[in-house]
Amino acid sequence: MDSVDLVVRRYNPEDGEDPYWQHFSVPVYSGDVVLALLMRVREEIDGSLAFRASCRSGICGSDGMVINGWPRLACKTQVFEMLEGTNTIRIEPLYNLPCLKDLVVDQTPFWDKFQSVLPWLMPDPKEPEPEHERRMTLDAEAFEMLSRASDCIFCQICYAACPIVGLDDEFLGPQALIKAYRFEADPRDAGSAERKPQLDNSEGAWRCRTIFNCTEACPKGIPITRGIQVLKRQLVREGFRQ
Amino acid sequence: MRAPGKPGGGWSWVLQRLSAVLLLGLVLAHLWIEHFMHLGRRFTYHGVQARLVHGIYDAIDYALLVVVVYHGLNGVFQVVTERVHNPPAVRFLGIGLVVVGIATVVLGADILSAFLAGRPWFLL
Amino acid sequence: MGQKNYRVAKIYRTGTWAWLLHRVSGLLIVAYLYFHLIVLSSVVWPGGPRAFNRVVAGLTSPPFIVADWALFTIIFFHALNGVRLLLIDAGWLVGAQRTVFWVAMAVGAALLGASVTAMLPLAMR
Repeated sequence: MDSVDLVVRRYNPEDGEDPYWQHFSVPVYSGDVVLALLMRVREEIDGSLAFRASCRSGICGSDGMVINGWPRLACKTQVFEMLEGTNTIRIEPLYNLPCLKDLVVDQTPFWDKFQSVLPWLMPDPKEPEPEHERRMTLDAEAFEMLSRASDCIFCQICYAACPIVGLDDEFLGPQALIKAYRFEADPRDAGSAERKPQLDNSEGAWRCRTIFNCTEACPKGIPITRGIQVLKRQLVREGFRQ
Repeated sequence: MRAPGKPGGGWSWVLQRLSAVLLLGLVLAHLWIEHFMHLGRRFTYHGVQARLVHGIYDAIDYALLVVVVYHGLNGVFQVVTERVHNPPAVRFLGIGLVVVGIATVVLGADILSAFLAGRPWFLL
Repeated sequence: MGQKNYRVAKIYRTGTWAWLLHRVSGLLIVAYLYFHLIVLSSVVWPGGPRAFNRVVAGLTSPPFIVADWALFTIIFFHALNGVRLLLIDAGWLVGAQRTVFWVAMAVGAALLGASVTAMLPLAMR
């Protein structure tokens, strides 16, 4: 049985100390994901280690964290893929969000921004209630984008990967924008006018600099940057029409 | 709920890209005409003057001047406002850059006129 | 910001480098624009054509030819990464942005190579 040197960034606001790196020697079995190591630490070595996790299968989006310098889901990250010839894995809390304790971050800014784009379906109130079943069509590519944008599990990994969020903490960030895109692209939605002020401003869609970290980090493979670009072009087209 | 940033931004986004497309052509033309076409020959006032007799060349230089100043200073504005959000400071920066931009275009046009007309239009 | 429990993303991949270098090169080009105008303004300021010829003679000396190459590197980078950004903004080849970046850099290197070759005799005087 092998063991891995797990280097975890610890922080406890109550002891008044600065964050520090703690090494754990953790037994590892073949097929282990990083989350399994963290659970082993908490159960067998140090019960005070704080981290979020729930479903363990990449659906709940709770265990986003920075593993070897790149934000990932701990439950979807194979230990052997992180070792690359070394015996060390470094784990930190998500970037761009304040750390509450160890690997747990304060998600408030993320949720505030998400909510601000009115991320729900707004049907046209003037449209009469349909009497028969009604079909709305989308071309295949648009449907593919809509469907992929709907895959978001709110894990905040894109938000933590974005250097612009790091530079400008008022920027909406990739997740709020791709969620706005998800409803803007939906043919049933008539909320564009209401959503526009939230997107068409200096901290909205225009602040995105197409760096692609969000797209590359997203554990669900959502083409986030592409969706944000569609939003920008749509805002421009609407601007011309007025 | 969270307050959005300064409204708008679409025009600035479009114009930055439009000016970028123009600059691709203008900078290339400027480099070619002013620097590569006569490479190796002595670079003099009269040489530049002789080149600028062609209307298309000075049209390119005037256009380049205006477009590059817009593109460059708008770029500076975008970089600074990533960190600076305080509305009076942003307004001051915006107005300041417009003033600087106009001054730069006036200076550039003055320099070009010194070649074209034999003496500067505005300054000295 | 600045709190000990808050750290910002400083992750460098292709797109981040492209963004950072685009920004730095852009600011350098703005700085160069002013240098260029100040040099040229010798024609309106104290000396007129004669002063201009003197300034320009200095600027076409070998060390400045080499400095020109540095300038071309910066301009070609900004222009070709700019083309990549225009493609992304238009929605073309968005999925291939990394490849597009390296293709753009190869074109830039070719342009730079051609310029350096053309100017080599001037630098060797």
